[in-house]
Amino acid sequence: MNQAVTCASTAVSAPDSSQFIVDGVSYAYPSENGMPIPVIANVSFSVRPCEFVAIVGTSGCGKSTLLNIMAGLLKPLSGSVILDGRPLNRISPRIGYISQFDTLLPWRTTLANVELGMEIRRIPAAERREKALALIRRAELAGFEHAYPYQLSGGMRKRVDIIKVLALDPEIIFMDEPFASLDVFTREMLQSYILSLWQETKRTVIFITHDLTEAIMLSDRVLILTNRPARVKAEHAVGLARPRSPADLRFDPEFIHLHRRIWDDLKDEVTRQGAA
Amino acid sequence: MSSFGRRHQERAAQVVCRAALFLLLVGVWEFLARSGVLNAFYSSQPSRILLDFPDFYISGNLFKHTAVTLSEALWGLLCGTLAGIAAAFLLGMFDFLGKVIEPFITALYGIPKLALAPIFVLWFGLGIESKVIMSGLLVFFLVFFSTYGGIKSVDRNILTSVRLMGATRMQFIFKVVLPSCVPWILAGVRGGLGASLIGAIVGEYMGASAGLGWVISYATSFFQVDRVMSCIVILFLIGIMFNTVLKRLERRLLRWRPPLDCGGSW
Repeated sequence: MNQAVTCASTAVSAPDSSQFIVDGVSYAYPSENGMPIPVIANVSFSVRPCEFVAIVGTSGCGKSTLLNIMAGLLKPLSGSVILDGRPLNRISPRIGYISQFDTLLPWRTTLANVELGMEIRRIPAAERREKALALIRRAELAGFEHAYPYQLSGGMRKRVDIIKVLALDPEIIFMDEPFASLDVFTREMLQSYILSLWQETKRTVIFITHDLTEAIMLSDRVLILTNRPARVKAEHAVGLARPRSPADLRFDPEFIHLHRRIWDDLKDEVTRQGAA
Repeated sequence: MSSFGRRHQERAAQVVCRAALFLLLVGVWEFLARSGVLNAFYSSQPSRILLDFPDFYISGNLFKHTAVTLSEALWGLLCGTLAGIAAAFLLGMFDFLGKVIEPFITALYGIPKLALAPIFVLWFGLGIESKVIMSGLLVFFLVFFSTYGGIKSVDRNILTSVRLMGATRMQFIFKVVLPSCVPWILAGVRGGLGASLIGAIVGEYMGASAGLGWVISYATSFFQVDRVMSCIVILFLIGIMFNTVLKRLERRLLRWRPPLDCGGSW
């Protein structure tokens, strides 16, 4: 919650200051015949504090590779990633990463999973417990503190996965198709959860998805990536009023209009991918 | 209630049938020996084994020899398990070391280890040490390979997520790798239970002055088949006891796993 205050004040004092910059990043994977396969070609964009940015691209376009570079897991071949004015060369504790996979430790209960990151950072046990319990309550998981992951539903597991990252108070949160493996209803529930969470404790979020609807519903700005090698093809501001509700937004004329406009950009990529 | 009650009933039926089958087999053995189809001098028979136990006990030999074999097997199990886990972690966490040394262990595994029993007696003497080493060696390989496999198959996505949280190497090992290897370690130990007894008994055959293996080979040379069978019954009971303890331990350590026995037959 402290975060929200600092975050908002920076945003006010310097409206165009960027918290996170991706500057001319390129990447290629080595291949069998020695010719590297370019995956990312000169991607640049910047993100303001407390902004919710969605990056949309077709599957296999290099989104996840880009996110891995942004998280410091991979080194770009050229270009750089800048966090608060300093180049990011390795994993930063200020970045939280929520992936599309189930990364809960199956032998830990909900509570112990949420405490994991704080344990790693050697936060005292009492403080850890208190914070984890508060997060669990707010995620409406009360009563499941001592349940093992296998005893939770997919949506509940994902919520634990999310609060496990929130427990570390990251300034920027990356989400890599976090709801990819969930059914439509659970997805919608979690989208609402993310929206209310963001409304409460404003943080910078970079959300990667191949689902345009999801991107528009959640974000302030949508970046469209081309097929591999990924470039930024277009950028759209999403001016929809907040707080938003995914259930109602679907039928909002402004939303539909925006969706159609952005879809035109994405459509070419989808059809071209089909042809390839 | 009904589903729980049914499962309870099914369990009771299993136990009853198991006991009935056991009694039937023992009964058939007794009958064949009494009716002369089997020569009880060689095959022994349940009633004579039962009568041998008081003698065995009164002579003071029963507990003495059982204790020797049991402590050999348990020390072998303990040392072999710890060494197996330690070696697996050393080779699993330091990739270079693993690549260099793992082939040696695989090659050594190919040697029939029981063939080493005589030389162990030569090297480590007639006492308990040579048996503990034999038994520990058998357990070591089982636990090592199982644990090593476990380390190599830790979930990549979990590793990445924990790495992104900034875990140190030690935190990695103790918070992620070790707990995720527990099922694998237990599988190794499960195989090791039998192996530890084999190691102890075979070691005793080769040269010893005490232990159930020694009693078996001594009694056989005097055609005391009843005594041999008594020892085998004791080994059988020790095996059951080992397995029961391990099952308890598994249930405790693996409570985080979805129960497997919820489906029934298919």
